[in-house]
Amino acid sequence: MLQGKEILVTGGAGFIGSNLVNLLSARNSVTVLDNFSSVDDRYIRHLRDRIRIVRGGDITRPEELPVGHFDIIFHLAANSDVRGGGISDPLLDFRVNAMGTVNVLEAARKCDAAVFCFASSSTVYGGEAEKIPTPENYGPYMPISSYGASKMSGEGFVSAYSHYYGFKGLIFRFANIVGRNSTHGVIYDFIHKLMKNPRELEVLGGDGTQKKSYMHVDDCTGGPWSTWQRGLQGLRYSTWATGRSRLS
Amino acid sequence: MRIAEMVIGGGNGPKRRQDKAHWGGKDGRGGWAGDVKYAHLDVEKLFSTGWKNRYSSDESVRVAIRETLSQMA
Repeated sequence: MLQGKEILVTGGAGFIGSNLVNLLSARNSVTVLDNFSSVDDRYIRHLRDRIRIVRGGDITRPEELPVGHFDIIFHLAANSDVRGGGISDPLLDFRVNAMGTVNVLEAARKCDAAVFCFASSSTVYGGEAEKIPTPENYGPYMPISSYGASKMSGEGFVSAYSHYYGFKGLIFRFANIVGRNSTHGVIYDFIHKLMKNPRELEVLGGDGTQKKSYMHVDDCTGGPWSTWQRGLQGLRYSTWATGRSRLS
Repeated sequence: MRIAEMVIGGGNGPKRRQDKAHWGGKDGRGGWAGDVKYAHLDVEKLFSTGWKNRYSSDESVRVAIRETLSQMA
């Protein structure tokens, strides 16, 4: 596990971010950047004595990004509403997830970060991957949502910047992460509906045939980091599928 | 559908026959633009580093349901 590092976590108040901050802050100096658009500071409030919180920090406004030195940047801040692009504003995904990632990469270059970790998504593959299970080197990417397109763009810029400026770029393609501090997602939505109507659960957004494999957020944030490091083997840029438990 | 039923049962399954989930939307078929129906990642590369996950997929869902219910209480 990491220790003694200066770490910036964007989106550190959110679902995966808050779990990661909780884990890393025990042995590292952690700065959280979050605009609290998805959730307030309720999941990191108890850590305020041992972390630094950049309040109101928005990755779409470069002037609000922290300056100084960071050894590692975990870039998790994003518009995480995959549905929204098709309903209201596909450009939101571009502004926040694509352009926002470039803004954070610019900050990473200026603060001389050694490692840049980017929370990507299985949505980069699109809706009909011909190879199931889908490995990291599957292509071409054909995203069917502006969210997937923006994450695909973000991956591309992490790759380019890692080659320009020499830091390690690590892409984690998350899929179907569940657990505490959730701010959205299937379990969160179902429970909210049941609290309103305990006798009936209407499931919108599907036809009952969806099949997905889930990973608990502790598995997502907990053990893998040290082994991901071992798996780097000197690579400047590396992609890791992180969204399925192998146990049946 | 299994997740809907697990949520109804608080992580264990439906408690009563009349507790059930049904599909909303037109003709019971929802769906939304941009949804990926089948997401199944090959995680062998991650496992090749020696890492082992703690929870299976079903366990992950069950634990997540309990945690979310606890936080909403």
